[in-house]
Amino acid sequence: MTTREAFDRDLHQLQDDLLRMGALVESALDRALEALRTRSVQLAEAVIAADNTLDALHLELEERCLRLMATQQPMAKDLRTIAAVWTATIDLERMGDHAEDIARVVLRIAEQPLLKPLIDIPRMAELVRGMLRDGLDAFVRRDTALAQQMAARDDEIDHLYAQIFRELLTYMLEDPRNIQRATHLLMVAQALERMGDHATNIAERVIYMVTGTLKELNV
Amino acid sequence: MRLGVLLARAFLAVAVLAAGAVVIGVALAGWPGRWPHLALSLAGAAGISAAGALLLARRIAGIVRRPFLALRTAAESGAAGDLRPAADGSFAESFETIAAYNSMVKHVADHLAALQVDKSTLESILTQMSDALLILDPTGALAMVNPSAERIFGVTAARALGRHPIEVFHHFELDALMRRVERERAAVRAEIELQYPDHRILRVQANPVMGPQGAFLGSVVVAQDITDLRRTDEIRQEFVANVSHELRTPLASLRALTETLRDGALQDGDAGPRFLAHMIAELDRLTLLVSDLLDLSAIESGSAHLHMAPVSVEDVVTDVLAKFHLVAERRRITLRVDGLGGLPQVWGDETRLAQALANLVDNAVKYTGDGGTVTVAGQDRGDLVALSVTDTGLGIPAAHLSRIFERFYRVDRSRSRALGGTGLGLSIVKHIATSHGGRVDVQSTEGRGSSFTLLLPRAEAGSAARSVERP
Repeated sequence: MTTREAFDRDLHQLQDDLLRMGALVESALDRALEALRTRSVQLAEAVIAADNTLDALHLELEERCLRLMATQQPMAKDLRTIAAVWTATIDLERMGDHAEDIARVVLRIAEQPLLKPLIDIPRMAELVRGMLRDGLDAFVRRDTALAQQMAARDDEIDHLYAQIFRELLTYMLEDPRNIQRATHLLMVAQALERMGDHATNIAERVIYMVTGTLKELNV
Repeated sequence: MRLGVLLARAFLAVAVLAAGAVVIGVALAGWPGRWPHLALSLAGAAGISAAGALLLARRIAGIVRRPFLALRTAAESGAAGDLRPAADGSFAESFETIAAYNSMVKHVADHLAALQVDKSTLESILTQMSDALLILDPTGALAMVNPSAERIFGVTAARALGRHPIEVFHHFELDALMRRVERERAAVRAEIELQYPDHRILRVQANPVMGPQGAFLGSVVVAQDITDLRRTDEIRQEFVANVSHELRTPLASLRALTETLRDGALQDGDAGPRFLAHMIAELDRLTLLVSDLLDLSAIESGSAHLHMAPVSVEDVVTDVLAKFHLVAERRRITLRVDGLGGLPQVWGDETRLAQALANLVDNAVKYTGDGGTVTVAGQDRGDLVALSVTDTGLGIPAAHLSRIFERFYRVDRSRSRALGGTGLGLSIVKHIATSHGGRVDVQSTEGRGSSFTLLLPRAEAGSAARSVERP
């Protein structure tokens, strides 16, 4: 195997591990939402425990990125690829933390009935999941067009977040006893909104990796 | 293949020798001596024989070459994928060669045909199997994804092939499992939960494929969807837990009552009879529960023989309502019937239909406040006859509507028990309806009342369907 082949293999492994992190985040998001829907303490605790795996993978990937840069002294596109993986792992790690935040909310409200049926929150989660998948797909396929589309979807998430905020506010104004439960749901919505932003960051990294220009998608 | 050419060259050599003789003959003829005629004739003969030899050589070469050319043509077309016997070359000695070649061709062709059959059989098995099948090459890239895998994992083979599982499935545990097979070269088995595209539980078995000399050729992953199995299991466990609970409550109460009687209440002229009445009520509840359970199990398993016949809905309603007149009167509940006259007969087992209706009316009366109204109405809906029981009672919250036909499901546990329900009534109604080829629907508004509708096949339609089933 030539040095180049070995390096390409290393890069591919790096990328596969990035996808592994993405898969963990996706599963954490799904399970956190399921825990919220069924108010399952057990599931919420599983989400919190799984975040350790994600953190460990993040540290390992970070170290491998550094080592590749130090030992291979990559140039141009190779360097950008490694840098993009590195920053994307940071975004994924943060997304995992937000999924954990949702699970922690579930632990606090497991005993009470939900303030209102979940409608917009699952919709937000579905959008986040789609953005995460497409962001990573764009990464793998170096698909800048797909990455560009992410901005519009993040707008949709922000829009839903504003809607949820207004709705929960009316509940709180209506009856102060609703404030606690409404705040918890608001925390969930905010975690999802943050996750959408991080997914957009990953899309920005894809564009940077391919074109070499850093562009703010989320304006 | 070169033999014909070789032979032709040998004859050519003879011809050249003969030509040499001609030259010598001509030279002799030119030499003034004693045998000019001899020399001339020698030269002539040599010339003729040389020409003859040339002709002969070409002819023989042609004869010898023909079968080999035929063999060559056949072999070339065979190599190009068109296996066919060589044309008869008719050179005596090469018959056997050609025959041997032809028999080989036939053998190979048969073998290929058999392989083709095997291959299409295998392909149709892999395509039609309900389990998901993934094959990975030694580098860990996907080499095959069958249609079930496409459906279960929500991917397309076209986009999956040649890529690593993590890129395709985005599933950490599934990917980890495949990597473990690669690393350890040993079978791995696990249960995996999918959230996307649907929530599923999969039983996954992954095996390495080892070639001769222990070469790793890839892995084969089979995933079986056990979501329904798991769900059935959960329902069964819930059921056992519920039954035990339902049986224990009256038993505990019986035990407490008996102990109190033993500890002196028996002698108490006031408490004694009261406790005994309680005990009888508890025993009635136990009996009702057990008989409901037996009914349910009989209807569910299909072992309860249904005596199907045309049944008059009006008669059934009249019989059933007769049992409720007393309790309705006591609680000032109005029992009304509506649209029963002229209703077509339904196809069913009269006793079971009466049981289903009685359960619905019993619920309606129980959950309607004093002074309310319970209406039993019939409606002709073409192939089906609708029989509805509508009350003006509490109504059922929307969140519970989808579950009330489940065994032991109760909107309000304590209230239901206080009213003497077993939690099986609606479940029995549902099973009676489905075993008749009908169904039961519910509509309810909280605080306004509920309406349950039995939909049953009318007698003509039902008996016609049956006679088609068993000609």
